[in-house]
Amino acid sequence: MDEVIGNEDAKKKFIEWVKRWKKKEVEELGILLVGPPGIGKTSWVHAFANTFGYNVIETNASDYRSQKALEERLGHISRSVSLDSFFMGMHKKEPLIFLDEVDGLDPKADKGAIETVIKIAKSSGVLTVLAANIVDPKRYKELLKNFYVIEFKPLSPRQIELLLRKIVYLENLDIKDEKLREIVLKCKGDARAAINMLQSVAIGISIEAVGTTLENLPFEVFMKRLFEAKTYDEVVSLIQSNITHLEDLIQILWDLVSRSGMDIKYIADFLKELSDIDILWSRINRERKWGLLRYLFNLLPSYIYRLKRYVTYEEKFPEYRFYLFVKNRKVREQRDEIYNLIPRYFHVSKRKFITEILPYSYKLLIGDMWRDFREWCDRMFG
Amino acid sequence: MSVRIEQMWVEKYRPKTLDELIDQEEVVDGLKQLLANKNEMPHLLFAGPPGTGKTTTALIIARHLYGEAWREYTLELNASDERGINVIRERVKIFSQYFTPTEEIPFKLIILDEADMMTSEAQTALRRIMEINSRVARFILICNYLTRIISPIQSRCAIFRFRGIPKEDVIKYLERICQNEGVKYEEGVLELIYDYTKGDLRRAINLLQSAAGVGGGVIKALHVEELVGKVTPKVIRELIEYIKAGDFYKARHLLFDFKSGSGLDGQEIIRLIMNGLIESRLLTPEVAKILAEYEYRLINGAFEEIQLTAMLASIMSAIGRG
Repeated sequence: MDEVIGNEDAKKKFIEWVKRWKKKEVEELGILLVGPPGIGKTSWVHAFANTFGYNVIETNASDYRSQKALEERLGHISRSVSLDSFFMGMHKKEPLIFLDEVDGLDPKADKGAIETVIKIAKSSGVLTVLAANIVDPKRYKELLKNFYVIEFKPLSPRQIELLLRKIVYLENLDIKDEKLREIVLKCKGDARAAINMLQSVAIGISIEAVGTTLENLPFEVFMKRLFEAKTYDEVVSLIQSNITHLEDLIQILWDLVSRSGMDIKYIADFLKELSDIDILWSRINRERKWGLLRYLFNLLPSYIYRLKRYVTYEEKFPEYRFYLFVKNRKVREQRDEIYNLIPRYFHVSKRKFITEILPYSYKLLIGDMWRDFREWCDRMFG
Repeated sequence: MSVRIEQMWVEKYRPKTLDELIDQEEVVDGLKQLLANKNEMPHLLFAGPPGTGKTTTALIIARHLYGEAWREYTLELNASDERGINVIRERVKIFSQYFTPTEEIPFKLIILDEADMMTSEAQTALRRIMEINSRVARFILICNYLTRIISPIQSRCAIFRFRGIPKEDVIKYLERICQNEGVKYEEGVLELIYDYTKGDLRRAINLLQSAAGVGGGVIKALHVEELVGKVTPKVIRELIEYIKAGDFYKARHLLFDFKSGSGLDGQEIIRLIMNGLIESRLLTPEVAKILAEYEYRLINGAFEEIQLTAMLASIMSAIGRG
C-alpha cells in the first residue's frame, strides 16, 4: 500500500470511511474518487484491496454503458455475497466493486446506468468504489448525493521524480538526470504519462517527440508537414510523434514512388528499400518487438528526405486501394461466392481452380449472375 | 445454381463406382478388400500424379459408405486453401462434434486434398488431430508426392499409389465422351491431346472440351495446339509484354487488377510470372535471383503488394540493362 505515492490525506480518508462503513455508521453507499488521469486512483484501490483482503471486481464504465450490461456484469455479485457470508472469515475474500470512468456514462444517453450503479451499491451490500476524472455537479447530482467524494490531486514534481528514479534503478536503465527532469516537467503530475515517457525514452525515442506524442495530427496534415519540413530533424520528430500513422505512411510512400514517373532504376532502388522497411515493420508487429521501432525512426526519415528531391506530395487516392475498394470490389464479392461453391462441385483447390480451370472454361461456367467476375475473366484470360 | 457445373465434362464423366475407374486395378482390388467390412476401414493415403483418379476414388468411397447422403458425413478440405493447421483443426473439430458412431455410420469421413502442401510441422499437428478424432473420423489424405508426407502419418495409413493413365485408356475414355456428346474429331487429335497431357485425365478432358468449344462441335488439331500454346494465361503474357516494353505503370495496374480479382497469394503470382518469363526466354540467372529474393521477402514482409511491385521494378530494371 505504501507503494502508491502521494495523496496521503485522501488515502487516510478512504480507510477511515471504510472502517465506519463496516460499522454501518455512514449514510453514503460507497466512495467516489475524483481526479485527473494517471495519479494513482486505480492503483490505490488495488493496493487497498490487497492489504485489507478484498477481491476487486473491476469494471470500466465506458465498456458497460447500458443498464442491462451493468446488471449482467455486476448484478450477480449481490446474490453470491449472501451465500458467501456463510463462509465469511474463512478463506473467502470479500468482494469490492470498482467501477472506473463513471464520468464516461452520460446521464441522458446511458439513461438508467447511473441508477443501476446506485441500485447495485445499495442492494448488494458490497463495498463499492467509483472513479471519475471530472464530475459535473449538475449532471451527476444523484451520484454526488449517494457517494462519499474523495479528491485525488496531481502528484508533485518531487514525487514523480522519486517514482522515476525508482524505476530507473529497478530496471537498470541508462537515462541521464536532465532527461528525467524534462519528463517530470512535461508530465504535469500524471504518473502514468511519466512512466510511458520514460519507457519511450528508454527504447530510443527522442524526448521532443515524446512531448508531442499527444499531438497525433490528422493524416493529411501529417503528410503535408512531412514533405514541407525544412530540416531533417523536423521529419524525425514528426514521424516519432505520429506513430499511429506509420502503416499508412509506408503505403503512401509506396504509392508515391510507384507513380512518380522516375527512371525505372531509381524506382527499383526506392522500392527495394521500402521492401526492407516493410519487412522490418512486419517484424515489429508480428513479434511485438517495439524496440525495433528505433531503426524505423532512422530509416523512414532518411527515406523521405531523399525521396523529397524527386517527388512532391499530392493528396491522391492510392492505386492499390482503388483496385481493392472501388474497381474490383464486386469482382471480389462474386469471386468469393464462386469460391465457396468450388469444393462442393469441383473437388479442386481454389488455386488450381483459378490457374487451371478458369482460364479455359470461364465462359462455360460463369453465368450472368456474376457479370463483374465474368468481365474480369475476360480481361485476364479472354 | 448458376455455376454451370453439369456442363463440365470432367464432372459429368467422373466415375461413380470403383468398377468405372479406369486402369487402377491394384488400387481397386485393394480397396474392395478394405471396404468389405466398412467398420474396419483404416485411414487412407492416396499418392500419385494429378488427374489419375485420387479425388474421384475418395468420393466413390464416400458414396460407398454413406450412399446418397454422403455429403452429410463427408468433410472435404484442401490443404492449400485452408490458412494454417489451426483452421483445419477447428473445422475438423466442428465437423466431428456431437457425432455418435452407430452400426450403420461407424465414423465420419474427412478428405484432405493436397496434403503434401503442408509443412512438416503442420503435418505433425495433423497427426495429432487424426489421433484425437480417430474414434469418430477416418481420414483420406491425398498427395502428389508420397515423400513429402512425414513417416508417422504414412505409418498410420493404408497407402495406395496411383499411376499415370496409359495412352490407350485415355484415348478410349475421350472417345466415349465424344460419342456421348455427339462431337466429331479429326483423326489423330485424341493422340495429340494425350501427348500434351500425358497421363493427366483431368487436363485431357478439359482440353478436349475447350477444343470442342472453339471448333463448334468439331475437335481440330489446330485448335488443340492453339489452346496448349496458352498455358500461361493472357494476363501473364500481357504482363511480360509490359515488362519488356519497360511500361512500369501498366504492368503495375495489371498486377493489382489480377491479384485483387483472383485472390491468389503472392507466391503463386511469382510462380506464374516465372512461367511467363521462361516462356519468353527472359529468365536469366540474374532475374531468377530477383524472383527468389522477393519470394523470400514476401514471406517475411507485412504487405505483399509492396514486395511484388518492388520485384516488378527490379526485374524491369535488370532486363532494361541487359
